[in-house]
Order: sequence, then C-alpha cells, then structure tokens
Amino acid sequence: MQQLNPSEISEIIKKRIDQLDLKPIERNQGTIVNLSDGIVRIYGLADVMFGEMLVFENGTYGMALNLERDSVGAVVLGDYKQLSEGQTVSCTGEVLTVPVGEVLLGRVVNALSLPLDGKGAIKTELKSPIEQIAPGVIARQSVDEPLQTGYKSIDAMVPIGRGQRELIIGDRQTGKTALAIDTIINQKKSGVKCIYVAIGQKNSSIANVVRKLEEHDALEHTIIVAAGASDPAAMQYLAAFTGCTMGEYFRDKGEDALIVYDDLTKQAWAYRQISLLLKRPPGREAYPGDIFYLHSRLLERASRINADYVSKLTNGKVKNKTGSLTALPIIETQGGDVSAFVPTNVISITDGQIFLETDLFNSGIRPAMNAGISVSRVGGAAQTKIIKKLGGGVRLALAQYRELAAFAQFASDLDDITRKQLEHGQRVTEIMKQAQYKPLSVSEMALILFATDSGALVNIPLQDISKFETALLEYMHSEHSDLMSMIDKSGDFNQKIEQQMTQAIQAFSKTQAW
Amino acid sequence: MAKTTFARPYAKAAFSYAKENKALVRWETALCLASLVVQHQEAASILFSPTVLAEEKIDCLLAWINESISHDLKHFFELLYKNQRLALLPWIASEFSQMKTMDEHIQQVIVYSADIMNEMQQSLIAEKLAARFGQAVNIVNKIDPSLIGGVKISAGDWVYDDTLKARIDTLSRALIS
Repeated sequence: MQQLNPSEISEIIKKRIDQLDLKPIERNQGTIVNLSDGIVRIYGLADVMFGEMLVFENGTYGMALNLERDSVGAVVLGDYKQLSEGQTVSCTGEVLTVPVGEVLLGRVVNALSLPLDGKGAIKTELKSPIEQIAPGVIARQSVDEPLQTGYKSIDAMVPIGRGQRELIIGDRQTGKTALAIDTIINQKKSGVKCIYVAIGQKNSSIANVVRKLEEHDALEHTIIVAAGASDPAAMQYLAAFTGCTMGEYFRDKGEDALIVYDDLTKQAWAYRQISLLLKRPPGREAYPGDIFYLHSRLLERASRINADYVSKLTNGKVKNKTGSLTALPIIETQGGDVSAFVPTNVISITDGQIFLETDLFNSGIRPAMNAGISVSRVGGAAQTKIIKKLGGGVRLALAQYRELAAFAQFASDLDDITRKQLEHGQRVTEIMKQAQYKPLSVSEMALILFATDSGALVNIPLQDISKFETALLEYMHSEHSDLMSMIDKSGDFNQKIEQQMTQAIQAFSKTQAW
Repeated sequence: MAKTTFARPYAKAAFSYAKENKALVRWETALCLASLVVQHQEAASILFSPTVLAEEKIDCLLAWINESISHDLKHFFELLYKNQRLALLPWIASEFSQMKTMDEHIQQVIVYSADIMNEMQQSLIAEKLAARFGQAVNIVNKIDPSLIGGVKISAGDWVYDDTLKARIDTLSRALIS
C-alpha cells in the first residue's frame, strides 16, 4: 500500500488554498417545496434553463427538467435522502456537461463520468454538454466503410457500415450482449474506439463484461459507462447521452467510434419513471409523449460526418478525414413481441435490425439471428467487396432452405434437386454458426464463404463442418498466410484470388486433416 | 406554490381594476388587512363557520378592515367567498403587492448583514443596485450574525453572496473534494 506523506498532504492543501477562487457568489436561488423518489419541486429559480445543472445545499447535483410557471421540477443526480423541504437550491448556469477525451479509454465511469473502477480521478480539461444537436444534412457523408463485427452471418448478410445505426433486438438470453461485446473485441486492430453503455443491468453482469473485455485486451480502446439497476432512474436515463457525448468527441476529430446501448428498453423505463413522477401526462403503455424523441434524438447523433465538417470542428487541425459514430442499440422484447411500443419506435428510427430468436438459440444456432427478417438498410454499400461477392448466395440459400424445409416436413420422398438444396441449406446453416469471443477476419470469412459457395462442403458430413472450418483456417494461416493478409489488406476479389483460393481448398481437401 | 397559482388570477384582476380606477393604495391596504384578518384565529372561526350567513361574513370582513363605503371591494370579497377562496387572501395580497412594486419600477431588496448597516452603507448599496437593475430599489436590512462579515443581497430569486460564511464554505468544499 502506498505510504501517506504528511508534507505531501500539506502541499496539496496549500495548492488547493492557493488555487481557490474566492470571488463573491452571484446565483439564482430557489427553495425545495416537495421531495419524493428522487424528484424535487423547487419554488423560485426564475432564470433556470431546461437541462441546467442545479446544486443543492449538500453539494449534490440535480437537473432541471420541468419548467412551470411557479415551480421547477428537477431530478436529483445522486443521494436524495440528505435533502429536505425548505433547503435552498442554486442554478449553476451550465447545462449538464461531462468530461470527454482519450483519458477515458479503458475506464469504467458512471453517467456523470465519475470513475467507478478505482483507477483514480479522470484528468481532462475537455468537457462537452450531454445534450447536443445531431449533425445536419450538409455535414454528413454517406456510409461507405464497413464496420466488421467478426461474425460471418452478420458481415455477410446484415453488413454494418461506419456511422450506421443497427438495432439488436431479441428476448432475454438470446445473445444480444454477446454479439455487441464480440463486435467491440473485433475492433482491437481496426482503430475504432468503443463505448459500452450499460443501462439498468446487474452490477455483476457489468463486472463480467469488464472482465471479458480485459481478458481479450479490448478494454484499452473501450469506455464503459455504467448505470446499474440500483442507480437512480435519472442516472439510467442520462447514461446513454453521456456515452454518446464521449463517442461524438472521437467522431468530431475525424476518428471512428462505436457505441453500444445495452439496453434502450431499460432507459425508456427509467425515463417513464421520471416522467410519471414529474407528473407529465402518460400515453401508450404509460410512456410519456416524448418517448420517441428521447430515442430519435439520441440515435440521430450516430452519424458519419464529412472531411470539411471535421476540419471545421477541429479548426483545420484535422484535414481530409471523415468521422463516424456507429450505434448498436439493444432492445429486449418480451415473449418475442416486436410490436410493443418501444421496439417499434426504435425499429423505425434505426437503419436496420438484427433479430435474435429464442428458438434458434435453443436449437444451437448461435448467433441466433433470424436471417429472414434481419436487415441492414445502408450497410450493403459499405460491405467489403470480397464479402459482398461471396456472401450474396448465403441469404438466398437460407431463404430457399427455410421454404423447402417447411414443405419437406410433409413429403416422404423428395426429388434430387430438392434434396440437394435442403442439404446445401443445412450446411450453410451449420457453417454460419460461430462461437463467442472468436471473431473472424475478412480473409477468414471470405475463405469460408468461398468454400461454401464452391461446393467444398458437399462431401463433408454435417457434424464435421465445424471441424472442417477450424482445420481449413489453420491450414490457410500456416500455408497461405500471404494470400490471407493480402485479402485482409485490400478486400478485393478477382480471378487471381479466386484461383488461389480454389487451389488452396483443393489441396486442403486432399489432406483430409479434419 | 399551488396557492400562488390559484391566487394569481384574482390578484391580476384586482390589480388591473385598481389601476384603472386609480385606487391601488386603497386596494393594497384593504387586501393586506383582509389577509391579516383571515389569518387571525378568532376572525377565521367566524369567517369559515358554517353557521354564519354569507352576507354577515362579508359585512364582518368589511367592518374589520374599515371598508364600508366601496362596493367594488365588497363584490371582490363576495366573489372570493362564492368560489371558496377567502383563505387565499394572504397570497392574493402578496401577489398584488408584487405587481404594484413591479408597476412602480421599484425592486424590493433584502440585504443581510452580520451587523446593523448605517444609512451611508445602505445608500451606497442602493445606488449600485439601482444601476444594476435599471430601476429604483427599496432596501430592507436584516441582521444575521451567522454571516460573520460581509453582505448577502437578495432580490427575488437573485442572490449576491459576499459574506465570510460563504467564503469559508467554499474553502471547506475545496479542501474536502
């Protein structure tokens, strides 16, 4: 344990006294007239702004949310048990701001950006307001760069582009968080900074995520914003905006960032609780009228901005670089009901969705993505050439397989073509399975898709497909590492690559090494 | 707070009427007295008693506040009684006074100090504040020994705190944080 040095403490005290600003305090003041469940009603505060930070007598902060004629409704951002009626509240003159910057990478912070990981204070001068207007039409650029999740099925069928908003939706225990965490782990070498916002989760689950990211060396490029189930509803509501602000810092300086909101259902619950306590009128499912705006204004901030705008934001320091913030919001459905209020809202806001299904999960298909209803509305333009070329057949094969499989249940004998299509579908389904924490590179994915497409799996028994895949990848890494690194680098697909891949697969098939 | 909301329409109507009829001072005095009456325990027991007739109650109220001639105030109190808002009179009077001072362009200011301030000090502060608010100020000096030294000026929600107590609090917060 570090020894305390008395002179050092005196120095600190001296420094603090030295730096103390003892100007007269000018403030706008009010009085607490009502206090319940983390919501205070304040009389006075005539000049308060919407979303302004308020400071209570004991130093706790609050945020003004309801501005009425005779009173102000505010949420307490912290322990409200110390507060009581009659205490004074002052305006700070600032809307809620949080520290941003590189120093936050590798840290676990709460919704106010205060450290939770015991690694000391966050030393940064950079601060940014949590509520900001999303970039306008002129500042934006179309999504044309891929963000690799490392999952074959997703990168082939539901590609995600940098700056896109792709919803991950499914019931509990269908692998939503696993998918998001794997995507973060896969950004290790891509230079994409990641932000994981945990809302309303068990603290043990958050600790688990932190540990897994640490194990895979992915915490260094990740910020974790945690608002656990035991945190006040206000913190759970704000955590998403805090994370978004941190991501925007990277976007605005011409870098790429990824943000995962895990999950927005719980954020909506927290916001509903605050709204009802603030006595705002309830609407459908008791959510307030602005629940759509809550999510739309948050997700609209995930965007790709052009080089001119980056240059303008950085005062010309960064040139010819675009910035992006990709969002992966997660929504938890109840009993597969995607027509509930919040799921339909978020589906309509995002640029596509990945549906995860319990039945698929239980039948061993992981990731449990339903390829039929999962879509990506903009990612196709951003897909790597080689994956786009080779992955095209997968979706079709799976669609035909589903149709035939339903039909084949009633038919006793099938013709050759149908049987072959069914077998191919089964193999494609099998090859699309992928274990957790094992993201694949573009070359690995391309090779597997090429093997599937070229019929190399036809003679492999269904139960050996996974072994074949592992052995093939091992073989390619040891024998054809230059081809693999070339594909990873360029992402192109041409006749020469096709030839080399065919030869390599043929040579491997002869070894019978699986 | 909710009472102010209920009281505001009455105060606004009364103020507008009194201003039009150039009877602001009369109305302000009457409302202040009436508010004191409704807060008086014995008077309230008569005013809010179910056994006393409505007319008698209004007459009593007018008699207590020495208002027997004008019909306008009588009508106002009758309306309050009819709407069961007589209990709001203190809030109506306070809102009325605020509207009157706003109309006169006089800012009410409370200056808290640890010791009694002399007239020169008060006029110096009044001069500075008048320049800041752009209108005349009416200063009330209140003594609060816990401030130790300096002054705390309060005008509505605006507070200017330059007391020793505030400085000590800032210092203690800086050392603890």
